Amino acid sequence: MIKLIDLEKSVRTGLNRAWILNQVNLEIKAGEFVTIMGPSGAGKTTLLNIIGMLESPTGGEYHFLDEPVHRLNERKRHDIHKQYMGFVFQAYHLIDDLTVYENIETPLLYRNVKGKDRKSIVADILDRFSIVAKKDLFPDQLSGGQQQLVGVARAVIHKPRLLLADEPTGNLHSKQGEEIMELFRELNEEGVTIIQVTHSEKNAEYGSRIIEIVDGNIRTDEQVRKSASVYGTK
Amino acid sequence: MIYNILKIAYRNILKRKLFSAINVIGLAVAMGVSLLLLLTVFHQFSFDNFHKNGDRIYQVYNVTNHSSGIAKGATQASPLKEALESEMPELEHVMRWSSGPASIKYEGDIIESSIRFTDANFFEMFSFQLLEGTPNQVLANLNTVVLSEKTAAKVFGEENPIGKTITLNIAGKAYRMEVSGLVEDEPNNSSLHYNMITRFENHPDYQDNKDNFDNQFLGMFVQLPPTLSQQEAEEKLKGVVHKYRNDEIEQLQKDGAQPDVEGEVYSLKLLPLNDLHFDTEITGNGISIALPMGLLIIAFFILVIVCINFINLTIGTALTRAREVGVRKVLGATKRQLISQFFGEVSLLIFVALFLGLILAQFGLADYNQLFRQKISLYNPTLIFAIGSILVFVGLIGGSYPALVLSRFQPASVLKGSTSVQKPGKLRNILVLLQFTLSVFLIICTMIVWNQIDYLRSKPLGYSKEDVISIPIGNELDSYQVLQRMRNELAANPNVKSITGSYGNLGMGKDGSRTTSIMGFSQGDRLLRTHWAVVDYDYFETLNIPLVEGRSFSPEFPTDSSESIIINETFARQLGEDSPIGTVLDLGPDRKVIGVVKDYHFLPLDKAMEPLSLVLAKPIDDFRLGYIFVSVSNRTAMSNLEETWKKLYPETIFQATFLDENNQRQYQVEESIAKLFTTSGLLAIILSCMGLFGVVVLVTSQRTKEIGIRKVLGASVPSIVGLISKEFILLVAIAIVIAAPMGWWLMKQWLQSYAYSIDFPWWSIPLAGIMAILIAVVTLGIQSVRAALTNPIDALRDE
Repeated sequence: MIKLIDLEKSVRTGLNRAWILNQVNLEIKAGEFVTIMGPSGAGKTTLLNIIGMLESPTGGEYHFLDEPVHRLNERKRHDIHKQYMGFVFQAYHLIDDLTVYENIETPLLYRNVKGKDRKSIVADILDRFSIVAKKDLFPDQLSGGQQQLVGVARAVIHKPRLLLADEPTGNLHSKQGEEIMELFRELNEEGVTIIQVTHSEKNAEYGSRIIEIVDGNIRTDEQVRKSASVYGTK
Repeated sequence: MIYNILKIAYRNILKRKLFSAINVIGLAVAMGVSLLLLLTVFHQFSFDNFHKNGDRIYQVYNVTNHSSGIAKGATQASPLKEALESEMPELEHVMRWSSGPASIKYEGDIIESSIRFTDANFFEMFSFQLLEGTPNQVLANLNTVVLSEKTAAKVFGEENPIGKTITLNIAGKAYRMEVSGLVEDEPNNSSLHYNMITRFENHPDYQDNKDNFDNQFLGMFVQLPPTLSQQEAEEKLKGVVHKYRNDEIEQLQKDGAQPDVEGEVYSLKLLPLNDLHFDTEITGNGISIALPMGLLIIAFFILVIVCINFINLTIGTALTRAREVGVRKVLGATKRQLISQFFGEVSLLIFVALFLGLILAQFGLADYNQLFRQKISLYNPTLIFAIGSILVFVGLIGGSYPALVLSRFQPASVLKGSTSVQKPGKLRNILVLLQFTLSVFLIICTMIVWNQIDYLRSKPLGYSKEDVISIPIGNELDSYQVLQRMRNELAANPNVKSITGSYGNLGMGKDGSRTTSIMGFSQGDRLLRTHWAVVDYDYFETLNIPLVEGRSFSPEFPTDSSESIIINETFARQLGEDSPIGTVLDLGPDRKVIGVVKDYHFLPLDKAMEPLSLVLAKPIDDFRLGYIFVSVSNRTAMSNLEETWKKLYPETIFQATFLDENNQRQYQVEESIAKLFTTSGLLAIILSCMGLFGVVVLVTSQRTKEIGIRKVLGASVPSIVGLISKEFILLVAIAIVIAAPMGWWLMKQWLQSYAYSIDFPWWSIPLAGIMAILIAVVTLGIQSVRAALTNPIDALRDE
């Protein structure tokens, strides 16, 4: 699904050039649940943003579903982003002026889904995430966990093939964090490819593969051994 | 999607109450005010544009190169019509036009009115709609009259006036006339006015002057054929002048007249009908084009100021929404979708403002119409459309800049929260600067206009105006008898000091009429021109005008009424004699100068002092007395006069006024301009301050964190207030520097249009500056002190 070849990202600081990502080679297949880990400033978020097409690399190649993204124009990239990707943020980034319902509905608006269809799609997801009762509240009336729930619902409302999550549980306490991770696993089992950035070893165990980045380079890339404790008795 | 955009727009507007209020109120007020101003501008520029052949109709005027200077005048002699018709047969129409007072008698009722004398082709030339009668037939007979709807209603009520006979009293003679037509009242954008229209042959002066080129007492209009241009026609008029006015030309040349570039000393020119309304030079009836232009500029300024507010605030608030835009982009919004969302919000604001503005304009319309003595209605689709378009255009600018800036954001960087949104400092500062420049400019103008008006009103005029009452006599009474009876009745009244009569008024009375007669005559080998006043005994005593030489009119000299004349100092100087007393002036019958009076301002102060001759009225004269002047010892005597008048003439309206009121009434246009400047200057500064306030609120909210940190580090409140205000105070200061020379230049021009004006008041510039700075400081102070006083912990908490 995703293939990165010699990917680079550098910024100019005065006369010098600083590499945030350097010579990254990576392949991610459809259906994987990948966790990116590493110390602060290692380039995790940048890598996620480049994959999510929120930032452009300064060098190297990026193929998404066999499309050479690095050669596409802005419009084409936007189309791919819009069609295949969903985003979850650490700080939720819900739109303050919109209700829960409207926040979830927004991606559908931008994809010109018809009003009646929108209603039923949003109703389904509200139901599935058990937030029907909250649908007319504004973000500041919700707890952090509830906000992130809405954030995830919003990220998957248009059935993306790839879900990108940047420290999705970073602002949550552990109980809320677990709920979100459970949700991610369910989505992954339904076939959604997930890439998450996290500092938490525990969250990493929900995934199928852990990539560790240090100083803009991939240091380790290993498959997670499924332990019974994680595949619990739910 | 539209519904969604509007819903979010609505919520955003409510959420940013302060900025929305500033925007909506500002836009609505500016829209309402500029709508009213532009209505007047439209009205002024629409004058006389409703005549089908208007672009081919011209008024004939003459340019005379006197040795003393160039004089232009619109009055012509009656036989010029025949001359033009025979020399220039290609002219489609030649028409004479004059007027006089007339009273209508019908079934015992007497109605004071006025009559127009014109030629039979009047209704063919001008597109005034006849309700009864056909344009080429209605004035075919000499003893017929056409009534305006208003006049017909006054005389006949519901009755059909056509075919009825009325008796008209014109200059003391009775005419029986048949009503042959009914014409709709002239539109309020017509320079030509009428109550009744009859043939020119009925003019009281016609018979004596029908072949006399020297008596010029009428206006003349011509209609050119489509094939003849104004220039060609004026070229042909030269031939007419040389053929018929050769004696005049020779006289002028003998007198030392300077020929113009075409070698002419006397020529006839054409004034296009469409320029008539703005002609202040030739006919003197028009209004200065400066008025509508001034209004246009003010309307433009106000719109600019409010648009700047709009743009500043929209951009400012939009930038605080960068995060929202970032999120929306990640969620898949295209640039177009984002831009349409911003436009949705802007449009909603603008439409609310448009609507409120219309309501405001409707409320203000009555007062506004009164200020300009006009009757215009708000229902002017073109104009509303025009202003609507301006606002939509502003919306496009105000909405597109933030939309473009925001839609360019890289969502990744915005959402990381690391990049602070760049402030649109430079653009905003330029706009604020522009706003304050306009405001200071208007303040300077306001101060100077008021000063000049005050000067015009209070300048000593050379006669006493505070304790002299002027009573219009009206057209119906025998004026000499009225004067005599008033003299007898008031002789015993201790409040009345002196009484006299006059043909013309001083200043402008409640009857709204102002007349000046100018007499031209040759003295030796020179052509002289003088204003002409017909007065009764005690004129100078009543008005307290001192004689510098000679004596006043006196009953002891019975020949005074036919052989004597009194002139003013200016005329005496023009005569150039060592002592003008005893000089005989060749005015048809000779008149001997018996006295010279000190110059007094018988003309409004925009005119320089001119020569004046005064002759004694005599009851057998053609000149009637129009006014009685009564000098009183205190102003309560007005009620005595009214009682006396009502006792003597219960039928005739008493419209007496003090001369100082008359004097002030002359400057109504100036006063309207001054009120307008004051209002708009005030409005401009309020709107600018509203905008400045909004900008400061934005700036402080953007700098909350900085202020918090500074306070933690020990900054004092005044230093923080200074930090926020410094930049803006500097802008206002620069605005003053830019506005001062602009105001100085424009006002200098305006003052020059007055023969008597104040010296440029230099203090007005620093005063305007100090006012602007003070207002800005207060505006800035409120918000910056508030920002400085906030607890730093509150400001830093969200981090």
